[in-house]
Formats: sequence, C-alpha cells, structure tokens
Amino acid sequence: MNSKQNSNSNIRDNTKNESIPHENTLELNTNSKSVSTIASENKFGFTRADYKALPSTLCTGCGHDSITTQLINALHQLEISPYDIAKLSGIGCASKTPAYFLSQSHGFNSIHGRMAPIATGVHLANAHLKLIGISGDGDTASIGLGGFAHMVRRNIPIVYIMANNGVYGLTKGQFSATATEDHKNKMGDLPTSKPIDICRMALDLGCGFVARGFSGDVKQMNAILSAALRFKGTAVIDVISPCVTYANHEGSTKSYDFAKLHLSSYQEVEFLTHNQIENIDSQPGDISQINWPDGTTLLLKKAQHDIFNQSIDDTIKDLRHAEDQGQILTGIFRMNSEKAILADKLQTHSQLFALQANDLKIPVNTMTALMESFK
Amino acid sequence: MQNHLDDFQFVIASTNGSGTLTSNRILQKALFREGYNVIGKNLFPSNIEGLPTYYFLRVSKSSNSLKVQNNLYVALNPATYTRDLNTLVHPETAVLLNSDLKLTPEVISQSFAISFKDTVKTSKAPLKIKKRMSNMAYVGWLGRYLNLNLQVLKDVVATHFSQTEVIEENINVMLEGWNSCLVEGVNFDPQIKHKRKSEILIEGNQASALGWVDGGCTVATWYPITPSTSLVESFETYAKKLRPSASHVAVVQSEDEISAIASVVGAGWAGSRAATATSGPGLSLMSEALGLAYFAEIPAVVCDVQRVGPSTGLPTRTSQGDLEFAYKISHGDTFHPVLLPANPLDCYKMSSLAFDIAEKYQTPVFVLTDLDLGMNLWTSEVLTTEVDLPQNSSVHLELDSKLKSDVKLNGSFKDFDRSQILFENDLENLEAQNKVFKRYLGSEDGIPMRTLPGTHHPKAAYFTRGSGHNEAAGYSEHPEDYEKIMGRLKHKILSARKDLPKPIVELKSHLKWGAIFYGTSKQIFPELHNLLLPFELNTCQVLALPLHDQVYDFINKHELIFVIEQNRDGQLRNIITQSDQLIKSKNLKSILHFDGWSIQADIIAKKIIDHLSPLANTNRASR
Repeated sequence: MNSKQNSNSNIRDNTKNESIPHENTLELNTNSKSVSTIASENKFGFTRADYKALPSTLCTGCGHDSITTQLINALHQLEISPYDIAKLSGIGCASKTPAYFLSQSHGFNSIHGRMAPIATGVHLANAHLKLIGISGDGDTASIGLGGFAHMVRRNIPIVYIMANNGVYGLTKGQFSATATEDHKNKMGDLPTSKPIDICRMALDLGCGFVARGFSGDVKQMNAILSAALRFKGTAVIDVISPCVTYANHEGSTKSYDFAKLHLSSYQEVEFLTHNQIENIDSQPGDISQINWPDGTTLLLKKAQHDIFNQSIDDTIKDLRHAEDQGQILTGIFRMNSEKAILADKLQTHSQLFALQANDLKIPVNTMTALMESFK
Repeated sequence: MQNHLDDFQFVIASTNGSGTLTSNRILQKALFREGYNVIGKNLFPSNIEGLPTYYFLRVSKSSNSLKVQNNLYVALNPATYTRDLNTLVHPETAVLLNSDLKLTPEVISQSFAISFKDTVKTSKAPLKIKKRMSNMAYVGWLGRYLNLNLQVLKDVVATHFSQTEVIEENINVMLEGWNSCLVEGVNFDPQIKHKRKSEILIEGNQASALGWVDGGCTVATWYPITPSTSLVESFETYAKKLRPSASHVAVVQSEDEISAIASVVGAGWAGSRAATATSGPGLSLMSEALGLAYFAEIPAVVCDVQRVGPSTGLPTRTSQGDLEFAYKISHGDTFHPVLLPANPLDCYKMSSLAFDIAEKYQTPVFVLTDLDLGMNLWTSEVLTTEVDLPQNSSVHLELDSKLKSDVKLNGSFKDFDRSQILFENDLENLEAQNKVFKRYLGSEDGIPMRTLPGTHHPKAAYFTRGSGHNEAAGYSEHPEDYEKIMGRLKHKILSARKDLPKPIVELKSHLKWGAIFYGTSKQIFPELHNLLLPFELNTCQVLALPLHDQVYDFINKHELIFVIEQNRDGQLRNIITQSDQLIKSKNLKSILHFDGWSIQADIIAKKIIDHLSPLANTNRASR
C-alpha cells in the first residue's frame, strides 16, 4: 500500500496505486459496475457456486466452516479467478478446509506444520499464483512456529489464516499454544504455559498485514479477508474459531459465548462494493477508506489507530494491553506493503517453473571456457 | 637423487585455519599440470582454527587412492608431532621440519629443515598475513624436491591469488623455499607423466553444482551443513553466471532442513525443477516431507554428501553410511531412485539426470556422494554439456500470465521432457476424446499425469494430499484404493530402472570370485587388482538403486562375492539380500571400511587376501 496519505483527508485513494497485488495476473476490473452480486456470474463467468467445493466433514457448528463461507464470499466478490489460486494447508481440522472451497483451484493438504515452507517453494516457482493458506493454532503456533516465523520474515505473499480455537481437535482436545492461562479444558485443567499471540509475533517480525477476526462476525471477516486478498505480501489473519466439541464449554476462553462477551475491536471495518459506497456517512476524523481500482472500498470506522504508519511497537503494545484486560482484540492491526516480497527481493524470474532448457542449460562454448579454469 | 620413482606419497601436517589448504592445493595443481597422476585428500577437523589437519598427496602411475606408507612427512604442527611420528612416519619416511618450531628429529632416518620465518622476513605485510604467506616456503621447497618446473609452479601460485602485489609476494616466498632446498630430491619415472588435454582438477560438489545448472534446477532451498555447503554455494554462483540471466534461479537458505525440503516439494509441486543438498543429520530431518513427496508424487532432487554418522558423528570424515536410509527414507513402505556417483564426471551427469528422473517419475530422487568426493580435488575428464545451445544466446521467454505448453522459443533446441504435464491444450485434447484427467491414474510404467497450479482450465485442478487417496485424487480410506496406489508406486519406482544407469560389469574370464562396489570405492581400482595378484576378481560397479537385474546376474554367476563398502553394516549387501532375485545360497562377503578416512586399495586388498588365502587357487570356474 502506498504510505503517502492525503493529509487533508482520511480517504485513501488507491485507484492509482501501482503496488496493488498481482494487478496483471488477477486482472482487477476497473469497471466498477461489473462487480458482481452473490448470485450472478462474475467477469470470469464464475458463479458463487464455482467457488465452493466438497461439503465440509467438520463438526456441525465448527467455526472453521464459517471461515470457509467467508472465503468463498470474498473470493467471488473480488472476482479472483480460481485458476490463479493455490490453496495450501498443513494438518489438523482447519487444514482440512481447503477441500471445502475452490474446487477448481489446485489444493495441497500437506504435512503437519510445514505449510509455510511449502508455500515458500510454490511462490519461488510461480510468483503469479495467489496463495491462500489455512492452518490451525496447533499447526502454526506449535509444530510450525519456526517455519511460520521465517515465512513472515521473508514476506511470502500469502493470505495465511490461522483458525484459532486453543485446542487440538483431531486428537481430541489437548491444549494448543494459543490457549490462554485461564482456559479450562473439559476436565477443568489449565494450561501450564503462557499463550503465544501469533499477531504480536507476526508484527514483531515485520509482517505487513496483521489482523484478527472472529468466525462469528461475518461483516468484519468479509472486510479483513477482502483486504488481505488484495495485499501484496504476507497477510496473517488470526481467526478466533470456536471448536464446538472440545472448547465451547464454560471455562473455555475460545467459546462462542466467551468470545461474544470479550471481543473488542481495534476499529470497525467494512468492505463495500461500488453500489454501497454512495451511502457512506462520511465523518472526517473518524473514518478512513481505501479505494481499490475496481471501485470497491474498505471502510475503517472509529479508527483511533493509524494501521498504515503507526509504529509496530505501538501496535504490539495495544494488543498486549487488550490481552492484559482479558479482551479479544479484533480488527486490522497493520496494513503496510512497503516491504518487498521474496521473489522481488531475490530479483528472480516470476515464473521460474516455465523456464526451458535454453534458459537454463550451459551453452557448449560457455562450458568449454569454464573447463579451462579447472585445468 | 632417488631415480625413477613411480609412487610417492607425502603428507602435510598442520593446523586448520593456518592457510595451508591453499598451499597444498597449489602443489596438487602443479603436479597435475606437470602431467602426473596425482590425488589429494584433505583430512580436516570440524573447527575453524587451530586443530590438526592433514593433507595427503600421492603421485603414482595409476593409483587412485592413498596408501599406508608415506614417503615424506611435513611437520608443521608441534601438537601432533610425537603422535604422527608413530602413525604417519615409517622407517623409510623422510621428514621436512619447520626449524622455527624447534622439533627434534629423534629417530627419523632422513630429515630436512627450513626456517619459515626467514622466508618472510623482508615482507612488509602484517604479521598474520606473513604467517600465512610463509607456507609458500614449503611449496617452493617441495616443488624443487619433487623436481617440478619452476615456471609451472609460479603460474599456479598466480592463479590462486587475485592482486598482483599478493601474487608477487607469495612467489617471492615460494622462491625462498625453492632456493633453500639443497638436498637430493625425487626424480619421477618419466613414463608416469602424460600430456593433459581433456582433464581437469575439480571438487565433486562443484561438478554436482554444474549438473544442477544443466539439469535445469531453478529453485534450491537448503540449510548449511558440512560437507554439502559448497555444492549449493557453487550452484548459485554458476547458475547466475552461466545462464542467460541471473534471474533464472532462486536460492534460499532455509531455517532448517525440514523447511529446505518442504520448499523443494512446494516448488516441485508448482512445476519447478527444485533441489536441496544436505548430509546425514539434515537427511534425517527431511524424512517426513520426502515421504509426502513419494506418496503425493511430487518431483524433488536431494544430494546427500555423506559424512560419518550417526548423530553429529565425524562431521568432516567420509562415509557411505546413508545408503539404506536414503533408499528407504520415510515411514511406511517406500523406496526411491538413488544415484551413486564415483567421480566428478558422474556427479555432473547424474545430478543433471536426477532432475529428469524426478520430473518424469514425479518422485524424490537421491544423489549420494560423500565428503571424499564432494570436497576433495579430483582429477576428472572435462565435463561437457550435451545440448548445443546457440552462441551468445540472449533468449528470454515472453511468458503469458496463462500457462502454455507451446511457449515460443527463439530457436529449436532439445528441451526438458515435460510430457507428463498436461497443459491447457492437452486438457482440451483430452476432453475432445471424452477422456478425463485423473491425477493418480498410472500409465503402463505406473507414471501418472499431472497438472500445475495456475493452469487455466476447469478440469486442471486436483487436490494433493499425503493422506490416502484414490486415482481421482479424492480422499480415500478404502483398502482397495490404498493397495492400488501403493502397488502402482512400487511398480513406478521399479520401472524407473530403465532410465537409471546400469551397473558397469567387468568380466575378465570365468572367475568364481567377484567384487561389487559403488561410489568412491571405485578409487581403489585398478590398484586393487594389482595388489591382489595372483588372486583375480571380476567386478560390478553399482551406479543406481533400485538394483538392476544385471547386478543379480553378476552375483548369480559367481560363487563368492565381496561387497566393498564404506560403512559398518554392509548396507548394499543388506539391500541385495532383501530381493527375491538373489539365489539364497550365494556367499556375499562384506569388505568394510568405515573409519572416516578415504578408502585405500592396500587396506582393502589385505582384507580380501585374508579371506581368499585359504581358498587359494580355486578361482577358475570349470567350463
């Protein structure tokens, strides 16, 4: 995102921003009128149904299914072609979900905790792909913590969603590393260690896009996902996503009831299509907005924090303060794409996978000359 | 002057970090340029400065491995001097001493001394540089002692430094050493010299790196580990320098070997030819992701430059201890194509071939070299590329954002075989024939077709998983689906043998005894044959796993087979005996060398002779 902000207004005009992610690949439509509604075909001829896939096999009421639904909505709404997307995941309940959306995208349900380095390889091979990674708190914050941290450091362009329920679901309810110290399991036991806040960690590692959502808040999730899908760089989204089987009881700090009582928002966010924009009741000083070339807008209301330029330390302080208050702070914490993505930093060809023999092999003369140096 | 010597081995005992590696390599290169058959082995510690290090050099008519007896010992390390006198200095061994170190010659029959300090006393360089430069004194002394051509030696010194001043200073010190050699030296038999035209002096890791370039590796992710580090570092340098654009490669140093292989798998999945290089400890960490690549059928190339395990083991010593582990890596039923280079030319060719095999068979392929091959300088045939590319090629692809199988090339050159990949037009053709793409449906050889992410076609996508799946890539726990996939995978890897190099079998005559070996054990030949006389062996050099039928034919033709290996447990022997192709009564005798030092013909010959002596003169098979 261009960090130059018009000082006279909080309106952020990104319609001429050159750093819009994958502008060419995704062919973002500048004709705002073509932005589709949910029922109709979008410009690629895909209906919302085309963004779906197999039915979920998760427990009824699982927060992860809401994330899936929100992703389907956002991808359809943003008119991103499924052919340009690669879905990646590790192992766990959340990592199963790539089978439940985008049946026409390549998907890779890999091994436990290794989605981040696998995504790194995919990005190096083909930087034109839009990567969507789904992981859980066990997959990311425990076994995959190292790989996750280094993915963030390298700024691999990916929408990295960590569905966070504080427990290991597939192995029946053990604590994860994000379980808070006051989180009781079903037996009434408490974890022995402090939780890891993946958002704070990502911020500290220089992540350009960091957000937290609640799978039960459709409007906020839609805005966060839409913004993340437009972001060029690693976009980390921690989604509080209750496990109805192992962490929705009284005493759980990741239950629907607990979340509803303790949620507090960093700002109000809303994603608007062109048709909705005219209804904005603009109140300068309180609202900032990001306009994308396709006429869509991200609206930030009651925004007391500058997520574009505020120092990382201040944001981390805000998150820590909220945690100390027993709150689950949600919203977009940071949105700054000044840092180069890995392929750009390395200055590599963006489609290495497609290079052919004459781009790669050593010409005879070159080889002959090289051999002289070994004589 | 000792006249007409045809076998001379000397060892320089020093401490690492003192700059002697450069000096030793200068000597090796000078001997090489003079046309001698020279081998050099660096025995170094896992350390940066101050621990004992040895550099052995042997000049001979046709020997390719070291021998037990040293003809000359250069004493530069007081800490090991007394011990070395017992182990490296034999009654016939001459000793060159640095007189500054004030070491007593004791029982040595023949000793010489020069003052290293004196050779640099006129230099104005800082003390640390002077100390390193003083090593040139023994280069000069030995150069004259070995009767080398002074100009050749000067030229070689010049190639090892870049600044003119530094070159001059080093040559001056070298000349001081040269002039101080006033003793009778060695006069080699002129017949052991030959003119070099098509030979080079190269490290196996450098040759492997060139194989990666020619094999089309575009993504290399790795974690530093001795002795594989120089492979990836060389690859990055060569790929950026030798390809039309430095942007045609991505090299990323990963956070660990788990991530290194995971990124290779990710890149392979997305269509890149990707590789990593590692050694034992790293390979251990990679096993889970390699099982994924095997089961989900994703190309990957792994070069394991073997060192001594288990655990940290002897990190700077050589071994063939990873053979069984690499071959069967991952939990569950797996086995993989493994290539076994014996010299730099093999490193180059097999590394390149590994990418073709991996891409065609969509599976991890291993190239197993070792520290001896990877890090020592070997005399090798020149490496020649097989593809004739246009001169001054400045071809840059104009790629669509969409995938096209018919990307326009400005020329007609042999391209990589990507026939196992279905691009958009291939999928359209399939549709026209009323056929569907099923990711895990195998061909006759068990090879399936695949598509790449980013392919703009409604039937292109499939779901990759390391969990059970059916032919259509759907999740499946059905017993029949699992058996079918696993059966096909076995068939696929066995089919790969037709693209893997066959064993080199040398049948001298109708002998009853034979030897099987692989990798760097080849260096004990042909010397081993001479040392064994009058005993004779037929030989079979294994170049790849899974084993070709020819290996079993060879075994079944002989009554007694020696399997020569550089590990404790006879790992190739174990692999051989696991097959039902073996006639069970066959006598396979392991001849093992696993102390971490480079394998030697004289040591192996003794072990074989000990075994054969009781069987003397029964070697001819009746006709």
